[in-house]
Amino acid sequence: MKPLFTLKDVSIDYGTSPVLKNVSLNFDKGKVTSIIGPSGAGKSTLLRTLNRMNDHIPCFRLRGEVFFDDENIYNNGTKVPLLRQNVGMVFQKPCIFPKSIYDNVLFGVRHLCSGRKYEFPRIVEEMLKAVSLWEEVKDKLNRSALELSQGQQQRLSIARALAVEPRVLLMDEPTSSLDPTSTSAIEELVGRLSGNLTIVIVTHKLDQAKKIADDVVFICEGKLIEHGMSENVFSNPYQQQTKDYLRWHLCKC
Amino acid sequence: MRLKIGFICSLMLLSEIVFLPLSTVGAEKATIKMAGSTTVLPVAVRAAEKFMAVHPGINITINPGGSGVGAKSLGNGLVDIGMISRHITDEEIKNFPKIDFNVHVIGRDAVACVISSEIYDAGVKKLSREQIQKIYTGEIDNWKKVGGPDKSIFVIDKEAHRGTRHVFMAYIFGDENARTRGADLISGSNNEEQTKIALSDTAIGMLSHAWINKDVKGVGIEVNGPVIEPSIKNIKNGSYPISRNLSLITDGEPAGFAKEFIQYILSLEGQKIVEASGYVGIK
Amino acid sequence: MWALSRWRPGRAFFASSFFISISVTGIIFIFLIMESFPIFQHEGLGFLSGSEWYPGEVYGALPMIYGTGVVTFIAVSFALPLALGSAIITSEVLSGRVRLVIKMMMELLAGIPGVVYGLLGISLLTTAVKNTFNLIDGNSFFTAGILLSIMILPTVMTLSEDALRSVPKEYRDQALALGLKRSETILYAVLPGAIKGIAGAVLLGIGRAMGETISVMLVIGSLDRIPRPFYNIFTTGQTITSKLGREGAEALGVGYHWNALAGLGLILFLTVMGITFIGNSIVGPLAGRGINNKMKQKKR
Repeated sequence: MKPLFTLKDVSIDYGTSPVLKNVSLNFDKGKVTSIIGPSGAGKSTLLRTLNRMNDHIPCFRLRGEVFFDDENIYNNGTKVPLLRQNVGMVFQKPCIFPKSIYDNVLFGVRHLCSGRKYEFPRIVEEMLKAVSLWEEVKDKLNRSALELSQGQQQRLSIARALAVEPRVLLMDEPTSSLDPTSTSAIEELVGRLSGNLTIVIVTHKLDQAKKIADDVVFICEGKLIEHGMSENVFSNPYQQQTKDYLRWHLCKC
Repeated sequence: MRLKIGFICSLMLLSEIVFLPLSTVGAEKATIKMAGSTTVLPVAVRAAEKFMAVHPGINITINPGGSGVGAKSLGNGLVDIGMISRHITDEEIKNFPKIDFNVHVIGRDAVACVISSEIYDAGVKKLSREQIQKIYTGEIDNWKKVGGPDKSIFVIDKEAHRGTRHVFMAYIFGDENARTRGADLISGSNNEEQTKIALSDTAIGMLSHAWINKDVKGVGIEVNGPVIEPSIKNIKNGSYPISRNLSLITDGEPAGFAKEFIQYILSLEGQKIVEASGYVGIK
Repeated sequence: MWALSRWRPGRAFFASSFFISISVTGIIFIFLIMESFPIFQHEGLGFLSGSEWYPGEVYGALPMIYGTGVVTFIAVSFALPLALGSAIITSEVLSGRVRLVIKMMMELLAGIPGVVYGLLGISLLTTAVKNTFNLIDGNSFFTAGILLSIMILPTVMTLSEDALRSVPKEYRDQALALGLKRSETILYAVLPGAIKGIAGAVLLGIGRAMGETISVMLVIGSLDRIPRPFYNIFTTGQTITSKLGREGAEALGVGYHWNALAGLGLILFLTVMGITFIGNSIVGPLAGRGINNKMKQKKR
């Protein structure tokens, strides 16, 4: 099967020291890929490379090539907004607009495909059901979304990202600010969404990666150390550094 | 060119808006405070500079504002000497019953009817009293009707308390508080009015004759046939019809340094300053 | 002893400056009421509705009230689009260093005294207005409004920019990540979050425009009249402040003339206080939120 994303010899820096060094990597369609590694390894940078969210950081510079569906997304002609519609993103901290729950779900859709107005109620219901939030909020769709709990807000963020119907969902440590119940709700959600959707998730919790990922990418100090099927990487890593990291949470790269 | 004129004029205006800092700071110095007519102002400023050079122990601060402000400030005891370019009105005497207004005439001046140089050069060299009257009531609103080009007249009036206006209106309307329905703009000091007229090319206004220059021309006044120009000669021989005394006022007899200063202006040297300022001395 | 242990210089300083500013405002207010009382007794409501002003005879404030309103309206309608546009560009497009330079320049501009603007206005703007609109003369409501719009531009711009900056960065990222274009992000995610701050900035700008005296006095023409037709803004008029500037010194202290000017002052005082109060109560909490956000970001 052809990979969805292909990174060829990608290096990134923000003006000073390199953050990613010569990373070459594929992400497969329909799978859940988890990026693991110590903090500061460049996990978020790698993730944000896939929807060009790094562009807004001053002095950002990228060498190498990133292909999405055989198209180099760092070409001059790339329509970045269109790319981001296809490659959705969920952030570490849920970002909720000071609007109603209903309007938050529709925030992207409303401005991207305004022609589908009559479908809006259906989209809201469908998306909230997809993230298992419907039962909790169906009676207060017009209340401010800021009243929801952190966990509910994060699921609302996911619903909002899904409403744009992306093909890929990037998740940047989506459970790091959540309680255990909400965390397992989101882990379960990721399992349900995979298949139709390609998911790339950054996490620093190894058990979480083990639980939900098909593939695992281990990076350390900007270098790709190991990339393989989840069960292989966790049970029998190929590289010594991976072994050390998995056992001692140490990284000598 | 016009912009440059405007800019220079407005810089002059600045000096008038901001309090004139003639004094140097020094607590032990005696101070003479003055305020009032902007027509008398140049004389007072020049005389004060000379006077302070001779009397280093004295500060003189001079505030512009107009004759009304001069009378009012003296009435309220804010100044030692007021400057006026008209007589004290009955109302002013009534408002300050405790003040004994003592007028010291220091020179004579003409109030000229001034117009933009463009109009003057286009042929309006003289106006009669009736014509000026009609311009200020709005009956005549085009220069065409008084022998000039086909242009609307921009009528500039002055703040009601100004000495220049009192004298001008007293001649034109026979009423120093005359109302002017035809006015388009109200100005304050001589400098402001000069600037406004210089910047306009169709304006009429009233100014002390010392402010006449190449952009602001004084027209002759036609009195039953002959035309009398606003000139030093015609003020001196008394033929120019709109003339007035320039005065300093004090509360009762002046004393101390204020008395010395007034005496200085009345001296030969002081009268030279009056004439150098474009007015006529009294001796 | 207890009181001594509670002594905090910062708090005492704050309390005293608070007390001083409140009492000064209060004294001015009471002074204006007392000084203007006779004119309201003498003219009644005719003082507010009358359009004739001849010292010693009749005092009608309507032309001045009208002038202040018109001039302020013109000033805001020109300043707001410009200020908002440049605030958006500065906050959303330009890099940090350019932004700082622009902000610094704007704050410098805001500090230039009114009289300097007035002199530039009298020499440059009146001529420009006269030539552009082919008028007999450049002194007009319009000229004063334009001059004021230039004067309030820095205030409105810097405060709007602050409001835009205080919108959390997450909003922008979120909107961009959903596939919105840069312009849509500003329009739908940033502006709604800053709208209160911008409204406050405009109100403070209005306050400044209404209170500005000398620059208006030099270009408005100082004629106490409501133009005919009333929307003819290319003619001379009078504002409350220019009236006070022209006649204040001459009327000082005594008589109905003085009371009438105090009455004008009272009208202006109440209006500006009201607007500033509304402006501050809108801006205040929002500015606080902005600071909190920055602190949170630092902590992270």
